[in-house]
Amino acid sequence: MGYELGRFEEAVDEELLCAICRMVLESPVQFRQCEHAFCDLCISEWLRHKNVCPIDRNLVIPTDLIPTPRILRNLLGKLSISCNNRELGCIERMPLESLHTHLDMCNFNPTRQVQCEDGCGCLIEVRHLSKHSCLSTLGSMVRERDENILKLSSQLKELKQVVSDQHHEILLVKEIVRNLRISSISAGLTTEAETDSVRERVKWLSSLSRARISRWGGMISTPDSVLQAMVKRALIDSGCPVELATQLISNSHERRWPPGLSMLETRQSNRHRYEEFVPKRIPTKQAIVLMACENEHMGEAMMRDPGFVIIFAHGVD
Amino acid sequence: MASLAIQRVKREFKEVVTSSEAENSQIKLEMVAENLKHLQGEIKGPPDTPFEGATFILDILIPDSYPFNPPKVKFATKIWHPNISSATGAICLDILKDQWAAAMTLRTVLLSIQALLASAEPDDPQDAVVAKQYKETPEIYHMTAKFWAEFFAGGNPSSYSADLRQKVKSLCDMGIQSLDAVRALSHYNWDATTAVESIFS
Ligand SMILES: [Zn+2]
Ligand SMILES: [Zn+2]
Ligand SMILES: [Zn+2]
Ligand SMILES: [Zn+2]
Repeated sequence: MGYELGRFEEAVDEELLCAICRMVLESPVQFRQCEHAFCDLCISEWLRHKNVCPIDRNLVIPTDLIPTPRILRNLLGKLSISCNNRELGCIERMPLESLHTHLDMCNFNPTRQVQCEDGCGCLIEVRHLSKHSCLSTLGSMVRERDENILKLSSQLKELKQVVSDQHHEILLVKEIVRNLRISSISAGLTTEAETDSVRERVKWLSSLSRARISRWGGMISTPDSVLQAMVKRALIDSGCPVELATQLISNSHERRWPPGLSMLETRQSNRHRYEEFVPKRIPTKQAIVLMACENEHMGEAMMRDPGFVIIFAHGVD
Repeated sequence: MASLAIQRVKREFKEVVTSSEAENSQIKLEMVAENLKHLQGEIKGPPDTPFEGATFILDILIPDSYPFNPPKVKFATKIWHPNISSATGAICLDILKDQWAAAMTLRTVLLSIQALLASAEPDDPQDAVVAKQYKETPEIYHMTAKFWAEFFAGGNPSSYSADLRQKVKSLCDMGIQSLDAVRALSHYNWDATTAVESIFS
């Protein structure tokens, strides 16, 4: 919808009026065929009713609308217009082309945003400034954020649950696959009892939390049997099936570690790969368990079936 | 009312009032109860037509969707014309229906209706009885239209108007309302007997 004629100082040429709103063209467009120009909004509304030019009634379609020639836009841009906020007290006049620049800084523009200088520093529309209170603005901001935090943390909780469920399922599948492989090699079929033991193993494994090793140098490569017995006890207490615990503890000495770790030299050359491990903390002990099902990506040189244990002097969080 | 409709009607109101046609009192536009939604138009019967000298009042309603939809216009003054209902005043004119265009104004509407009075379109009738009379007995149509213009719209009296008034009076003496009398007589080509029969049957 165009600009009211009353806002212009001089009489405006008929060519610069929109035939629909009968006011001075605002963001004009014209039809390719007949070159009749209208305000963008006016003609879009008309075309929702009829697909003819409102002046000559020739058939048109919306894609026939093209920008008006520069000369028309220039003529419009030069017209002197009064400010939108004239009734609010602004007496400024300006060329139509700089009306928007003026409105952004017009002191009488009720929707102009200013920064509060009383303390909160928020952007506030001028019309709301007299009722503005920093305290209540900040208060509602805090409430809004609190609500947001609450929402996000409940989302986070849900997502964590999803991740842990999926992790559990992945482990289960991996173990079943491994077991299938082993049992088909040994030419036997997977029995129900075997599947149950897999389930038990996975349940235990997913109850463990991931270990953070701050000092790999603290590992004990040749633990004595007393130390091994203590760690085995802790494994069983954490829910590890006894048979598996026995296997894992027997793999807690460098002699039974995978080849990539079994000697000081190989350990040194593989040190850079330590961070790729998925280590699980053995509760209450400075010890970790590395299960084959979680560490298949490490390859045979760095892994032993069904897994192995590393006991530390210190450095496990 | 949508602000565009208000803006437009205000401007068009001014346009009509300051037009040369208004100066020659061919057309006139007034507000009904200070309400831009409801206007009253007035047109003069064009010269060399049965309507010459008569003044017709038009009832104009502006829809909220104006000017994207046409104004709703009908005759408030009774008129005998093939494209205007003699009963309701409804007008059959393309620009008030599917040929409306947003660039048209109340001034062009008033002038188009005035032009319709000068050139009837009996093949696209609003009032079938009038259209039939227009085609089959053009002299009776002319006489009737002129009588209606004189009787209802202050048109110039004709040489036969005294005769026709006498017929109307004779029906009124039988207790018939004058509007019903004029209608029935016009419908039956001023045959008083048939007209009376049609009313009492
Ligand atoms: Zn056009
Ligand atoms: Zn416009
Ligand atoms: Zn201003
Ligand atoms: Zn503040």
